[in-house]
Amino acid sequence: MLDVELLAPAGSFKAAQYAIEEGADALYLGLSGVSMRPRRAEFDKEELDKTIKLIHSKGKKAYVVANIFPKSYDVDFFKDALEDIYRMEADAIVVSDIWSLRYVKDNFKNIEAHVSIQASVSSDKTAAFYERNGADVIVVSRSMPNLEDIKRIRKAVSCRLEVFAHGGICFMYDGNCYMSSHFEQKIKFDKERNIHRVYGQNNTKGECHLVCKRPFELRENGSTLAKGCLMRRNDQVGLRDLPLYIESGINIFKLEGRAMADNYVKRAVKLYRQAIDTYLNDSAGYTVAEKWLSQAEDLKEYRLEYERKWKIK
Amino acid sequence: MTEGLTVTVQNYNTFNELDKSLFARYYLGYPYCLEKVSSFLLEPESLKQAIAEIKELGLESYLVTPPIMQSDDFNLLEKLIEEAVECGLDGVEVNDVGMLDFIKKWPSLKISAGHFINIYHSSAAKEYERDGVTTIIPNSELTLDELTEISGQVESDTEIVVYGNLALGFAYDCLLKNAYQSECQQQCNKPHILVKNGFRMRSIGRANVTAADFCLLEQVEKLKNIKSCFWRLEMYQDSAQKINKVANIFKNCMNGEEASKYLKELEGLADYGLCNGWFFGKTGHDYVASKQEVKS
Repeated sequence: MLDVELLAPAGSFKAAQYAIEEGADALYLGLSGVSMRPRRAEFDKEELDKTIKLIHSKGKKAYVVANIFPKSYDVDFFKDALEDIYRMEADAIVVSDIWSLRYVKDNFKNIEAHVSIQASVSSDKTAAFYERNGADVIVVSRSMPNLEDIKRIRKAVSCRLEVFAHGGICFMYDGNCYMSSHFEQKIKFDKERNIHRVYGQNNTKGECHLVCKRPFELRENGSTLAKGCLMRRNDQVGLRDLPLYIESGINIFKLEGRAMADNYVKRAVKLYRQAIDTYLNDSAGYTVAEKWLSQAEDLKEYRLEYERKWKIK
Repeated sequence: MTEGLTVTVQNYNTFNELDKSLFARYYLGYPYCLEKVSSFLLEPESLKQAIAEIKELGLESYLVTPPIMQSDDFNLLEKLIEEAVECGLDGVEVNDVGMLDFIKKWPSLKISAGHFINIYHSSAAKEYERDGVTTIIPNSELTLDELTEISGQVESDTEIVVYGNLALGFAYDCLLKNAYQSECQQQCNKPHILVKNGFRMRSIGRANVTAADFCLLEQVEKLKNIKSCFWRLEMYQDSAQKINKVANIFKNCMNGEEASKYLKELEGLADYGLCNGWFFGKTGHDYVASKQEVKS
């Protein structure tokens, strides 16, 4: 039996319920302040605990995301958050760097550590470095278009590999984009934590200004060379490549969408559950149904709705 | 206490025209693209020549390696590093953690952990020291207080960018190839600016960098309080003449001269003005004059 898992986003309790109903094998969700998403797509401790219990009661797995790069004033807060996640008996903590990875492995037992998409793992040697330091799952870079590179990573490590199967792609590699905070960043007083701190908007925190989705003019020596959304990349739709990914050794198929509407989660999980089951039942006969592509196209509207919330012009 | 100036240099032509009395350490190479013609990464003979000259002066040479490397990139760099080590290369600037294990083949090499390693606090910096890192280059998205926290807690040297064009992101795709709808014609050698209203970035193909020159000249007194700290000029795109001028100004201020006297000159060198990056915790493209500092 192939080890293939459909990993769904849960930015709300409702989204978690939908994802479970539609057949996700595992859900990823974030604790407030540590998961690279706007607060509205994260859970407070009580909600997180309740949602993890729901996920476990249905026999599914809960991967809790703690993939910010903490700043010095965040470190204690971040460690407390990891402790909370551990106590809630999450199945895994998803982290972004070597310090967080080693901290999880050194301090907590019987919980997996996953290396986040934020680490943009793109080579066999980088993957091997993380595995040597305890990674149980490595998410390969979502900017990696080449299956040969995935195969080389597969050969280099024995841990499970995850791929970003569906959703928007940033122009810059994840974890290496500083455009948002260059565009706009503010320090405000955080009453909850009693500190002045940066509110999102940067590489470390996840309230991105979506600079790469905005229209720009490209000028050379004062003349306009091009205009438009020059950094916008096409969404990833993994339906066609699903068999190639599985045959290259990918185990986990992640759908984007913690910050998207609950209905998006319902529809995206349903679509990919169907595709994965089709492959698992008859790999040689796998074809992408026309209606799947049209459903994938419909999912784009949710992304645009998300972008409109940021008033991108 | 500053340990001296360091500089990034992408090719031998620029290196050759630098005033060698100004710098303690040279970062040779180009992190943003392995197709960049004339870069040290593609010209091993030039690299070896520069290393030999630096060694003769009793200074340090480091090879700059790219962020987010693909598996084949390691093969490409292996021979280059091998030959560079034979010529006396002192260290490597690592921007992908995969390099940390890879360069253990050459145990004599020192390691600078570059901006793209994303070191945001001292506990992370200490973790990288366990992997052999000897110089911490903290991520640029940090304030003075955060930089001070890191340098105060680590055994390693720290290195802080004080002038130049900060990296704003690194991409798989080349924006200029897409814009010109052509194969690579080294269009990145020309200045391309992405503009949206008053917001500007410079596109150098696979990366965007600040269009404005990042400048901490007015903050030199504060920078002097940071322990074991090199001051870095991140000036891959600039001419040797400009680098020399900027380095001279910083050297003079390092030695006690008033920064304000040189500010106009620096503004004149910067085609798109100056910015402070995130040094004050504000929006990166702003410039905060010393009189208007915000509490970070």
